[in-house]
Amino acid sequence: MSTQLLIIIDAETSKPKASTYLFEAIDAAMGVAAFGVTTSILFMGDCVKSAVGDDRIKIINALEFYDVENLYIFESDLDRVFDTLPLLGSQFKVLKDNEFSNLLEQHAQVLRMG
Amino acid sequence: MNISTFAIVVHGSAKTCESHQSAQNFISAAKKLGHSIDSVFFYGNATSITIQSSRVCTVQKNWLKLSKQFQIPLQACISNAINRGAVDSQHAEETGKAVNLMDGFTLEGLGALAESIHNECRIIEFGA
Repeated sequence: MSTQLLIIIDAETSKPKASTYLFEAIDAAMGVAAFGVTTSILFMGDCVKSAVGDDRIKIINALEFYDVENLYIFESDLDRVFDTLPLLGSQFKVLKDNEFSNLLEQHAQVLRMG
Repeated sequence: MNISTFAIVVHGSAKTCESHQSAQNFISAAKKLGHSIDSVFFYGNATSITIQSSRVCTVQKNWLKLSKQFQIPLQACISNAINRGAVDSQHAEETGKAVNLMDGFTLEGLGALAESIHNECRIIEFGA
């Protein structure tokens, strides 16, 4: 059974080179997933805007081909960043804040990037 | 006491944050208690530590000392390092640039990190 890894991405889009950090974090997810690690990604904070907004990172659509199938975002982050809720791709699962600890428990390893 | 095997992941530039020093302190403390360190993996801005300069900084010296003392591989993400100006021998052949990778560090793909995860090491991260 492969190890479950959760990568938490919380690159603040206002910081310099934020998009570089965001891409590198997504690269890391694809990279380790390619070696058989079951990988999920949690987008936190205002980087959800890049992940699901009008300027959605196109590479997110390719993640399922790298076996990164579980993408998570918090409902509170969506509410904070968007005036109206964006249309989410089916690969995104929206979590309530109190589901964070359960999400962490489901994964043997957690890495934070961004 | 249970003995654990740790894999260390370091983010952040050594010039702007203390993640490297914290990681080094952790490794020294863990080794004193008898734990094992599988590897150190540098990611993102942390990969700049691999670049040789005219003045070797204390943080670099301490990494090399720890690596030699405890036989710990110092691995940096190859794509991140190259994006930040590191040149190993293979990249030097391809581009004609001079090698500037400090001896003691290696540039690796994410497979190296995946291997630590598969080996059930406890991953400890030191972030920016």
